[in-house]
Amino acid sequence: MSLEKKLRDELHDTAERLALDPGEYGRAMERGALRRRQRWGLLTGGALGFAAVLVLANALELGGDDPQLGTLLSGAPNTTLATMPPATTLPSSPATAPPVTVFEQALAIAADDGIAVLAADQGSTFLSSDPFYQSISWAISDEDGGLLFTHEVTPLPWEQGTLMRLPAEASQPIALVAPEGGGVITPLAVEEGSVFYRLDDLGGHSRIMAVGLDGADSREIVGATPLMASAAVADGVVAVSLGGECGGYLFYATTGGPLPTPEWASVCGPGIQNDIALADGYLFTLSDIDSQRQLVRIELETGEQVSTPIEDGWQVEAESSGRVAVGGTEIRVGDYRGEAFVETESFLGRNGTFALLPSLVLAANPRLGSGMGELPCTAIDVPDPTPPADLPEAVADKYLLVFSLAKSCEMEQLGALILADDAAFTFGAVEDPVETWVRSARYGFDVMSMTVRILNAEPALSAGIYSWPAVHVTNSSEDWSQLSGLLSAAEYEQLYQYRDEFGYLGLRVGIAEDGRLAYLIAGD
Amino acid sequence: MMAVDTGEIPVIRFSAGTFESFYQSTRQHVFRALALTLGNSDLAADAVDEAMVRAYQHWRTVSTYDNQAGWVYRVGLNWARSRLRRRKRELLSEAPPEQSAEITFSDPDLERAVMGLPIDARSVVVLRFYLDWSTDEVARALGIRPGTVKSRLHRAMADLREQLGVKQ
Repeated sequence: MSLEKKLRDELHDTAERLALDPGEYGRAMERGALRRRQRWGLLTGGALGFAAVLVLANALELGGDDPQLGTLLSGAPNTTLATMPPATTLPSSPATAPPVTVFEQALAIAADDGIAVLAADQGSTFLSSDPFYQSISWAISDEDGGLLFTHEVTPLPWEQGTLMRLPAEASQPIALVAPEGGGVITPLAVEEGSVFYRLDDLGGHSRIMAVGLDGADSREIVGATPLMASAAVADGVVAVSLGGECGGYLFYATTGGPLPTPEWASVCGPGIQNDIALADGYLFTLSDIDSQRQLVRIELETGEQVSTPIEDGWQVEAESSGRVAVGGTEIRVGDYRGEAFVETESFLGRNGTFALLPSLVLAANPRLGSGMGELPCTAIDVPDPTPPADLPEAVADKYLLVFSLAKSCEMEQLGALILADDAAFTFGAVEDPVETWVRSARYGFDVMSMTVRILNAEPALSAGIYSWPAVHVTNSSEDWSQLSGLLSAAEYEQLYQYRDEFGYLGLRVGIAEDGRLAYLIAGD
Repeated sequence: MMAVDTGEIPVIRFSAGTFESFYQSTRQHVFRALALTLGNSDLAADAVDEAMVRAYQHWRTVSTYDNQAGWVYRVGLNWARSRLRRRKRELLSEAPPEQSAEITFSDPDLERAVMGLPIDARSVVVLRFYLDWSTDEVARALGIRPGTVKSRLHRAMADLREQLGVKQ
């Protein structure tokens, strides 16, 4: 039997033994609906009769105006995001001070589509990030009424992976520190006016760093460490757990320098793989004891351990003020000072990393990203060109429309045009043209500006599509020469190097003879 | 789902239509493909559900794709890889044994060889030999060139032959 046949048979046989629970359709769609509504979310303030209600600008989207969704979800439990959070709306001053919303003891969940703030009575508020950068990877309290967070894809103009701070009452975040050399920052905790964070470099090493909440006084607390599994900060102590064959714990002072390793922590043992938390002189982690998942509390001084069984799926994720948050499908917060975990508050479950917030003071309409007004695009003030005389009227109209929209950076309208015409705009899986262009600009390629320039080249007709620039079709020296006058020397060189092998692979615009936009795309 | 008989093993194809019919006909197969690729059925189950939610959110666009299942597979794979990166603290001392043990072949040598392939190569192998997609279909699903699919497949098969001591 050939290897291919054997492989095919084995994969099919193995797959046949894998079964997925049926009947998940409704639940999956409910999640999709919830996410969609949260994206356009609602922020309401006021509770128990307090009158003030703060509604985000696009709250009208909440009307459930998706007929397909309405049909699919008919009969499903009604999920309302407009639940009043346990918030107090402070009286605004008669001048211009914006209204703020104060949360006492809430939970921040960093998620794909922003930050959810959950209060203990299960009310919720959703902080929407820039619609093109929706992935929030971490969020913690700044211990002063604000948030510290990172994006998975950081909006312009900030560098990728920048640690952001949304101070109390602020409507825009500020950048604290960006990772050097493409590393990843994970905020851990705030102590005495400094945020301590983990910095993973691309070489597999991790450091613990600190920086002031104003972005000043950056310093290294723990040097480059391989196999750092987890880290926690509390009460002047940094704890680090190590993976590998001989793992364990290391301790450092938040002022810098190692602390003596307790005897109990210096024994070489199997690496620690779970998150750790520090609180009240104890270290918390999870362990499998007697084939059961247990929440373990280790007294730092003595190494004395006590543990209590927990339900499957719980994780030690965060700590604050001597309380440990654990979560599964539901997030439960409680005290673990004795030998048992005593739940004190429960929160509606939601996917994402989470942290306790002792307080949060939100401005009326805070943003976590750069905002639509700062889309990375350079509007070019040039007159609209005259279309070539022999273009069909429908083609000329579309040509002028695309030119005009690109010139004025009207990405949303151009994106809608692309979707309406079913034009190709990417070879990847990104499903939104504007997102594609913003991501391109994030890496220095301004599609709008380039569109304006290539539409100044001559088109060529091929297979019923008028294509700009003509060199994409002809690959002729004459057309390459014309292109050189439209691009910078660096842009031209970058494209020209592939002429013999692939031809022109730069941005091109294609309009079909019937006026349909066929493509606005770059690459191969 | 439409199965086309090409011999001993049906080629798996997916039909377009409403999202619900797409979901019902596709989810199990994409889940299995992801499980075989990731070596972990729990992660694959989460990944396919996440990808399906995104497909629903953007169904107007996704429904126009030639290979909608390929899009879901790719989104699920990227999501799972992102999740693994996020949880890399748990994986620093190599993947927990139970993760790779979840997917068990009847031939342990073949299992070891397949799971030893880089995930990019494994994804090509799974799409080609489990879903029986053509080179072009695999390329569109993964967003890579057909030539890259061929070279990855060639290298993967060479690796498997070497691991298993099979002559060309």
